[in-house]
Amino acid sequence: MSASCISEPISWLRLERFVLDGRDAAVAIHVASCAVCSACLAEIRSDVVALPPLVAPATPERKPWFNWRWVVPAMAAAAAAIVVLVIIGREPTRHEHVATIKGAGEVVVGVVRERAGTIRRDVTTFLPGDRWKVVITCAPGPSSLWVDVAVLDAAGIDYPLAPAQLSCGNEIVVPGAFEITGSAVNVVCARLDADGIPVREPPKPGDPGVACIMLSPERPAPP
Amino acid sequence: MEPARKADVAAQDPQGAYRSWGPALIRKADRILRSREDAVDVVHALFADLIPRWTTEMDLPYLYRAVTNRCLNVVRDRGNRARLLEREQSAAAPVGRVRLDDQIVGVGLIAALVDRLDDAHMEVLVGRFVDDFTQEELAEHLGLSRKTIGKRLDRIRDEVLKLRAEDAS
Repeated sequence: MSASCISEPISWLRLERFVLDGRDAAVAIHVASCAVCSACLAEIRSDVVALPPLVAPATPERKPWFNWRWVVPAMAAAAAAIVVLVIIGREPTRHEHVATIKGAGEVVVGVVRERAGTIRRDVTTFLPGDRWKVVITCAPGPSSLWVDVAVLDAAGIDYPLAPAQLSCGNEIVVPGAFEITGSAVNVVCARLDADGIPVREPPKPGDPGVACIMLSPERPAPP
Repeated sequence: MEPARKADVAAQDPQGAYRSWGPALIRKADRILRSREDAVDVVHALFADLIPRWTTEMDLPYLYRAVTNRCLNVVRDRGNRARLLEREQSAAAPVGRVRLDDQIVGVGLIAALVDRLDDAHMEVLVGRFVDDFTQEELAEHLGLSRKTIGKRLDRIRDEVLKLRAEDAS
């Protein structure tokens, strides 16, 4: 196809709007005499897009504030949480998901949860089967950043993702995803380094170059 | 550009907006990423994020800009970049109605420039050479003066020249 429009090409946005409402007379006149823009319009009209269903984020159900059935499992989960906190030294605070890295500045670590097709960035609770991704946000620039993700729980430490080198930007996704099993609190930590692949030492929130987020189970495991 | 009547109705409700504008936005993302699968992911994730904070001001041009930003984030990720560059080889050649010094702006050039230019310049690059806006339309779309658009296009051309010089040496 020749890519030469007879004058100034009609932007794709105008063509899309013309397909939606057909009101822009200037578009109709132009495409009547311009084969290139006419072909673009035909491309839009003939395109078939399979839209995946858009599921609204789940709203929390109202539940009775107290249920004896959960007392024992809740205490078990609390004990596990205490163990995790003892292992990692202290409880992560709100700001422990931020690390300052030489060469990249302030880096914010976040998590994205996918549950039955619903993607949420604003939650830190999990159920078995949830899939998690780690995202980082830092000021765009020429430098890149190495990220190594560790997941800690009472049983130990796991590295579910390969170390990745990323360019800074808004909510850049660390390649790969992982699941969290069990009914104990988990801490997801990212060790960040602008100079190379970070050394795999057990991370602690507050360590230089480490940013962590605590993930809690939504309900304790059945007894 | 006149606002679309159908579009205004859809803006009241994110589900309706998704049904009405989703295909247009996916096509737009596809033109940047040259991958329909990634384009669908970008648009779906955008609407999923916007559902809780939807307002009637989120019209098609606003979402167009949001899709540009999200696609650029996808390209910034080096893992995605390699995959997209590979897929671009098998994708149908773009029409390229508006070219940057006779060059069609594809994933390769966007990926090369995204490390050199800030978001503001990248948005102008995509608007002019992928979305095919005129400079006047682009100024209106981005809420900038025509002069600013011109300056940013000059800077983009300078960076492309530097890239070519580096490639040649």
